[in-house]
Amino acid sequence: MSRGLSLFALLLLAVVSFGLYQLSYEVQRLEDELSELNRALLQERETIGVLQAEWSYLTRPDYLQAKAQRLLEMRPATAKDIVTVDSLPWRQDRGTPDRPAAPGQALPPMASMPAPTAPAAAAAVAGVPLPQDRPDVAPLRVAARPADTASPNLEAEVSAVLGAMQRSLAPSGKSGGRTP
Amino acid sequence: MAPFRRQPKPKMPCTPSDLPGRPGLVRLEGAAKQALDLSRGRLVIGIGLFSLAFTLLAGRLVELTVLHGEAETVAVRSVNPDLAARTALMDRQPIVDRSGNILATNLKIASLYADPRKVLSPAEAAVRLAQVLPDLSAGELQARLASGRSFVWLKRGLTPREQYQVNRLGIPGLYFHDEQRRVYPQGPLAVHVLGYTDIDGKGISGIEQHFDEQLRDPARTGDPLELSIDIRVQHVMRDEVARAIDNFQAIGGGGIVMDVYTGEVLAMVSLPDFDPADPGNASKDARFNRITLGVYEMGSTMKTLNTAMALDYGTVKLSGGYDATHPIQVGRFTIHDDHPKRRWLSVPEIYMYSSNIGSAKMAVDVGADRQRDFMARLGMLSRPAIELPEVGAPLVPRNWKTTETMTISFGHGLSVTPLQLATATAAIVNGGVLHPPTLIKRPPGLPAPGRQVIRRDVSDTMRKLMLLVVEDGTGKKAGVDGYLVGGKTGTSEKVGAHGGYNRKALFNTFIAGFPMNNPRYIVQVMLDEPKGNKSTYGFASAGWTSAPAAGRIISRIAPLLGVAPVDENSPAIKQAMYVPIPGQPGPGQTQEKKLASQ
Repeated sequence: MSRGLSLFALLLLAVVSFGLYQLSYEVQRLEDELSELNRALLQERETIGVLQAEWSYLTRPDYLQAKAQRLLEMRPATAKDIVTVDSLPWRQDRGTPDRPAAPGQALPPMASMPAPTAPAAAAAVAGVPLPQDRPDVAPLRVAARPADTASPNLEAEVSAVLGAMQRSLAPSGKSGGRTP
Repeated sequence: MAPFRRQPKPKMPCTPSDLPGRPGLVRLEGAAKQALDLSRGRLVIGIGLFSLAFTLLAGRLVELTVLHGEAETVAVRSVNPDLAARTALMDRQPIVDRSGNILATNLKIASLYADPRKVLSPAEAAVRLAQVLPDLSAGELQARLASGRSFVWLKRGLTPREQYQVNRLGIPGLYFHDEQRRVYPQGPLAVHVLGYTDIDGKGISGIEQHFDEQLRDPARTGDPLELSIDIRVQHVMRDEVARAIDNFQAIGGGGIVMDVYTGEVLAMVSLPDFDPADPGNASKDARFNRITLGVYEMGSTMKTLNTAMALDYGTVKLSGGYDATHPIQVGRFTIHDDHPKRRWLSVPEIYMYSSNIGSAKMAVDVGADRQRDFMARLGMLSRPAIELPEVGAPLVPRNWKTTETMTISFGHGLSVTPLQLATATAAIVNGGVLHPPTLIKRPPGLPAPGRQVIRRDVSDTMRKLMLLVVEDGTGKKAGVDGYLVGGKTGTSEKVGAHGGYNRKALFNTFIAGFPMNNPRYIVQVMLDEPKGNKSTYGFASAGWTSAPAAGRIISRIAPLLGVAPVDENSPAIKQAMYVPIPGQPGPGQTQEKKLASQ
């Protein structure tokens, strides 16, 4: 009986010590890995810091200004270069109330900027006159494009461009200004 | 147990199973029994201790492997102090502008030192080192390398290229020590705001000094300190002031751009300036911050405050006026006008033609006490509060009597920092709320602290008057197409070396606000001792020197700041900004513009 107990104790001892050493080595390995990662992290952080400083150095306004004056055919923006979307003229070739746009190439008025719906697009392509959202604005005629290429995407394109212009006109958060 | 007991066991000499008593049990008597009992007891204790220890170990093992309870915290504790200590030791919070452009940051750099005892040939090493580090002399290096000590610095702060070249020499006994250095990638751009640090990384000027403790705080090293400065605006200001200084051979200059609703300073320039990387070689003049440390008699720009004061106290109405036909004799002084009209002038005319006589009379009607109260309310009599250590206290007259009241009305006898004037003028155009100036970005959306100092309607009137100065008065050269710029010129003579004013040494200020129908920013430009040139027909007054610079600055920064342009000639704008001047036609009618060009 006591032999069995002893054997069991010995076995337990062996298992436990093996487990302990295993654990100890595992911890050591993980610690090594962790400190290696920390070192790499620090290194990366330093590199990022250097790159950020370099970026800031290379984008100094006086340096950019000198380069731009020498290499670019651009000049500072003035008040004349800034317009609001409202003040943009309609296209030259749009219809007027007394001379309606030719059917087949009419699009809904831009000012209302409706989302392009399938029936509207189909109507535009098929040449069916569209119901007027705003009777005071004549439909826009796309003379430059043949009817078959006046895709429903055109409207989306136009509104995307106008939207981008509008966003660029609005004071950006970066400028720190407030909207008047 | 019973079957075992019955079986006869092999007899052993000392196993008397046949002894009387219970069979199968060994009975010992005497000393032998005692010894056995004792050793058994010891064994039990030993076994007990060992089992306890192994149980504990096993328990701990289970806890660490299966339960994971404390494992993670152990690991974190064991490694992160190292990282934290290293970052805390070396890092200093970066400083960025309002859009996140880096203005100051810490970089790791290598410093070169030597252990001379390990250098094999000091002479050869010195010669080769001097080739890659041209700013060190071979003789000096050899002396240091041959000193026989165990540690000598050779050069602090090598560039990466220099470090590489020194490494490539492969000289034994040379070592690098990693250090942190504060770098200012934007160079001198905002040096008077940022300040600089000493070699140990301690802030000894500017923001670096004011926020020194916060910048060193290890808990904050991750996120940068955001200033209200906008480097684009700062650059435009510096560029244009430098150009004006060059044009008019001024000895210095400066400028400030401030958000009228928050008191945030978007640009603060003082020229001449210097590179913060090398403050040691900067002259005292270059290190001097003319915006916050210099106090000046601001001249006619103070008439903005004077006129607002009279209108706010109601001592004169906008339609009222004063006779400015004759100069005023006060003691030894004579107050006369620089642009004399020699007639009765209305309040708008007094302001737009910058009449000293009219302003003095206006101030006398308010009285010395109320004038002092008003100036105090606008922060002109106390040291301005801003996040810089270099702040000058205004020079306030000890006796504030009628004479002082008169001279202060047109900007003499009270010396203030340009920052104070900009702050007060911002309050006058923004609807009457004085916001304390700040160099730190205010969180967007939160109302800035401030207090009402003049009535709203007075502020509305003052904006129209300032617009008038640029449209028809002394500040015409500050006009910008598409923006309603209003402003006020100020040309004052500096006090000469022997006391008394020096007619040749001028201090010119132009303070502008734009757009005047919806004020957003104050732009103030100063030139110290400008001289007239051909393009100004020899004139050196503010209308010819500072005003055009301010105009150019506004035309460049307004599109950057997203200020929507307006058609300044549209009837709606004309009507909104109309100021009735007695004897002059109203809006819509053609106005005779026969005013002096300055």
